[in-house]
Amino acid sequence: MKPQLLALAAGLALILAACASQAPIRDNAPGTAPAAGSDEAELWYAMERAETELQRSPLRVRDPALNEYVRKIACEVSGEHCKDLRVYVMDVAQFNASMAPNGMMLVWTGALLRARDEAELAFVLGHEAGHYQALHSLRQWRRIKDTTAALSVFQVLAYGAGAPTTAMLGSLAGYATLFKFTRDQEREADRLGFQALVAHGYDPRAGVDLWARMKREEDTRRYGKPSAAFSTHPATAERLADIAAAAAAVPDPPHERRRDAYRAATRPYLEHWLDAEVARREYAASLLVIGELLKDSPAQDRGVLTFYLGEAHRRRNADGDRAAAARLYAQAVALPGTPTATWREHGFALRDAGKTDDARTALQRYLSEAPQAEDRAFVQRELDKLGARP
Amino acid sequence: MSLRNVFVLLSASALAACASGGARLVSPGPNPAGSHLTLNSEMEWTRLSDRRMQLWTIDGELLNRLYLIPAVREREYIFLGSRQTQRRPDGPFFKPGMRADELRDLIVDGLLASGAINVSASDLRPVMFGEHEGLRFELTLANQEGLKYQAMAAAFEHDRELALAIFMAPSEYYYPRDAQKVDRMLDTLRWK
Repeated sequence: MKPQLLALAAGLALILAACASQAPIRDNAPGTAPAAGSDEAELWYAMERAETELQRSPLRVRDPALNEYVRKIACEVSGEHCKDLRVYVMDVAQFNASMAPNGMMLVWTGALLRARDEAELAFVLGHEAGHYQALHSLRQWRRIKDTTAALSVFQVLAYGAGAPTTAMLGSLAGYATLFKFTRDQEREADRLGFQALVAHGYDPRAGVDLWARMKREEDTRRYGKPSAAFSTHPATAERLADIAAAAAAVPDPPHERRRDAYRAATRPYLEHWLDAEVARREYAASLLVIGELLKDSPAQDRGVLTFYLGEAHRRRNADGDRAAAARLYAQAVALPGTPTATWREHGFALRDAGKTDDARTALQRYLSEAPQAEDRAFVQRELDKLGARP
Repeated sequence: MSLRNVFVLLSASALAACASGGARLVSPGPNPAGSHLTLNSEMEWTRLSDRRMQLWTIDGELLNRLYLIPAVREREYIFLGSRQTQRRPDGPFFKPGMRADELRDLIVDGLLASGAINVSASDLRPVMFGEHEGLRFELTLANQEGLKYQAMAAAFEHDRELALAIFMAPSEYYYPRDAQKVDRMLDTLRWK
């Protein structure tokens, strides 16, 4: 950022900081916007600049069908505020969703992979819509300014000033981490999301199931910072207990999960999302995520999930992983819907086990089922090394 | 280490090299890339050298860049800089004896980890680099602002270490302009 712009931004930040706390919080009626000249309007302006950058991001999933499906659920749980929201599905293989103060809602594909049904996604989106409805971003922004003052404010303004990193992955996390909500705000968003979930006939236990799985995944982390979702939405035992208690208190609870509709909308992406999941190279988490997906999957998805569970083992390659991968590939080739690549990996596993004839058969099957495979020359060379069948 | 950090490392190295008169012209013909790795260049490049890697560019590193890493060591990050440890076991770390497709996956995952987007590999094929069996493949990718790149990679194992070359340039104009020449260059990689 140019020095003049830095000075301008810093100056504006101080002015906003000075006047922010006195301004009343407006009634966030659906379809309304902040008053011109207010600190909230400035915040919206900055986020709209960021949103313009985000719209050009190569990470944005542009498939109209998937976007429409996610937007439909966001609209269900946001009620009249639907007209204020713009939903963006971003191709990032981690669990996260976030809500900017101007109505920009981001949903990462890692969240779509991990949800089991429409009810779980509705819980996530209802929670984010709750943050919007209750103006948590504005409240939090003012709180930050009143305490830590200009630095955080300046970060927001840097977005508005066209910081060159706005389309970056780091900035996607940044959208989420700009506004780390308080425990009370998270609890209020949970409550609003939960109310919307139940009001639309979804199973009130959907949130409990999702957050319990997310907590198990987070517990696999042995190094690094908390994942993006947990840095902004801490899944404490207390919070999980609150959601479970709320679910248990619903008399005659609805049981709608809409699992088939969710699968129909997301199944076309399953292999791509699993590819991205194992490419993260956080194998303890991937083994848990894919293993639990496999346990919950319909029969027709077990081939693909068994293969990718094998892939996570093979790529990790710790003690026992190659043997585990070989067992999973052997299972996967007998399951419906297994990817063609399973035959290749099964073939290599058989070769490594000294079963040359069986390996040859498996690799030949791979090449015959995928004649245009991008690695055909490599596999053919490995096949040649096995020699001719005696 | 991310590719961005690699850029920083290289830039710092280049500055140091410049201070000692170090950014060098690469002339057409046989050229060293480190003490044992060689290749035949078909055109002039500017070479920025670090102790363990080189960056060759024609028009500037945003428009074309050829990374040459003579030796990625066992359990080292594919783009150098950090090593596999018990505490951090899962990154794209090189191990001797990896299959060609596993080496390709290391490079793809390393690029993804460094912030490249929509990375897709194609045409994985075995290639002999002198007496060393290795691999070649092509890539498409985008940077974080959406600028589309194409790339080609070559690698082979020697002495339980990996020699690695990656050329990348924007798909618009720069890659098509030089791709054929660089393609032939990568086939001349040798360990001597």
